[in-house]
Amino acid sequence: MTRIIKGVFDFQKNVHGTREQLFKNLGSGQKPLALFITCSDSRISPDMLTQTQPGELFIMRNAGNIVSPYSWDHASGEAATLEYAVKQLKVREVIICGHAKCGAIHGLLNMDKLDALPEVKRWLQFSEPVLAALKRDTEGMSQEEILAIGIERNVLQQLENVKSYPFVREAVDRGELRLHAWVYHFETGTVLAHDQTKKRFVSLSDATKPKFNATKEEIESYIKSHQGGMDLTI
Amino acid sequence: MLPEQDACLPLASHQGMDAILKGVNLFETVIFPENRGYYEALVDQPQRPQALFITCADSRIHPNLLTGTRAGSLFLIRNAGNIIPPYGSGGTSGEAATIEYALSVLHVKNIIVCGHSHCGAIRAMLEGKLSDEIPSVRQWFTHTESVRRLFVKKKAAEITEEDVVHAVEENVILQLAHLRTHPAVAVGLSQGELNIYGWVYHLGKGKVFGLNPANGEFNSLLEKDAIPLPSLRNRRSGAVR
Repeated sequence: MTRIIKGVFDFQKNVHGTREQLFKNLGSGQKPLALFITCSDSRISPDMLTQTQPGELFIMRNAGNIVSPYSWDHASGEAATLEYAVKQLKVREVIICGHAKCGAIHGLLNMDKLDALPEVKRWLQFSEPVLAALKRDTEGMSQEEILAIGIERNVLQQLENVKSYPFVREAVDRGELRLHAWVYHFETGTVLAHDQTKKRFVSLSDATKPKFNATKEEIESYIKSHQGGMDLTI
Repeated sequence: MLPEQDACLPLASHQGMDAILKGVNLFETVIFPENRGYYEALVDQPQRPQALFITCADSRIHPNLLTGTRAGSLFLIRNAGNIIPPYGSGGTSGEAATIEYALSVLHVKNIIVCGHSHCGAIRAMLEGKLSDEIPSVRQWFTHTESVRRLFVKKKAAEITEEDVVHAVEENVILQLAHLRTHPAVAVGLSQGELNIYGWVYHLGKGKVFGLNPANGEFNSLLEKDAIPLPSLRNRRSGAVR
């Protein structure tokens, strides 16, 4: 905890000052580019991964990047956060980003061992629809392979859960909202995205090449602007 | 999904997504290779976060930047209003599950509930503007209804940023109370294995204020004030022991 408090002092004293204008503008409201839904896992830093500034990503995080489906009589945190992002802030993109080695999905594959975690077990019911097909499709595979496929299937299931909200479907139909399914592999530092046509996950950078790949100049200017003490891994 | 998805508009018309896609590419080509050792070490062992950090979904909050921590340090819950429904308040709760996972599986020793100034949803609540258009937000904010009641005598036009900050502070205190209703939190506190903290981040000023258990106020976060909130145990006659 001392380290975290010291980090705050450092932020107040050093970091904030270097980007004062950016931070000052933050007081006048937010207009985020996207709603980013990801896992609570401490190893994921959405801002780092997408190189976005404060003010750019509206972020929902919970164990397993799960979104409970629409229910007319119960408003969950997911329902409220999704509704606020889409209807109030009018974000144009929703990105659901799962990740390799997800503990929650590991739990999903071992539901019989979750008796000591009743809340987690209940929560995973929103991922459970993937289990039957997963079992069928992964026969004979190693635990590691099954987990990797389970993580991808869970992201797609959560995308379906997001689509169960009437206001999401309406916005998608009007062409005002797009949905994205990603998996972040932190062991290789790459993002896979679901390709609707190929029906599988492919490298995001490859699929958007060359238009959305950083150019040599952009990379050089990035490195230059971060020289002089700024830690790349903040 | 990717551009070939038929339901998608052409990517080029989306300035926002353009920036995000470039950002990911920059991460993959520059940042990850530069810090490969650090990232690889992260996956070799189970995560050992120093704290569970509960904050708002607001895009202006960067928890790692704010606390000077790197990937691997903070387990995060983020939702609109940094709200934690009280335990057993009906329905399956992602917040309850995530708290349970953080404490029972990861053995996190600190929980920080961090609200923030300029909170759009809290302001809308105080101004009575959580409309029928956003019914889920309105229903979700019943978990902070007692904060709204503190301000009912004020007209919408009279609500100032100072009121918003005051309400945000009250909301942090309320959510800390809700947090204590979760069994794993209650047990951790009573056994002295868990510390909980209430913070408010002031956007624009770059300052964090922490709830000071000595006076019940939010003071500028100084090392000496970073005292965890007392466990209920301290107020009992030792029955738990």
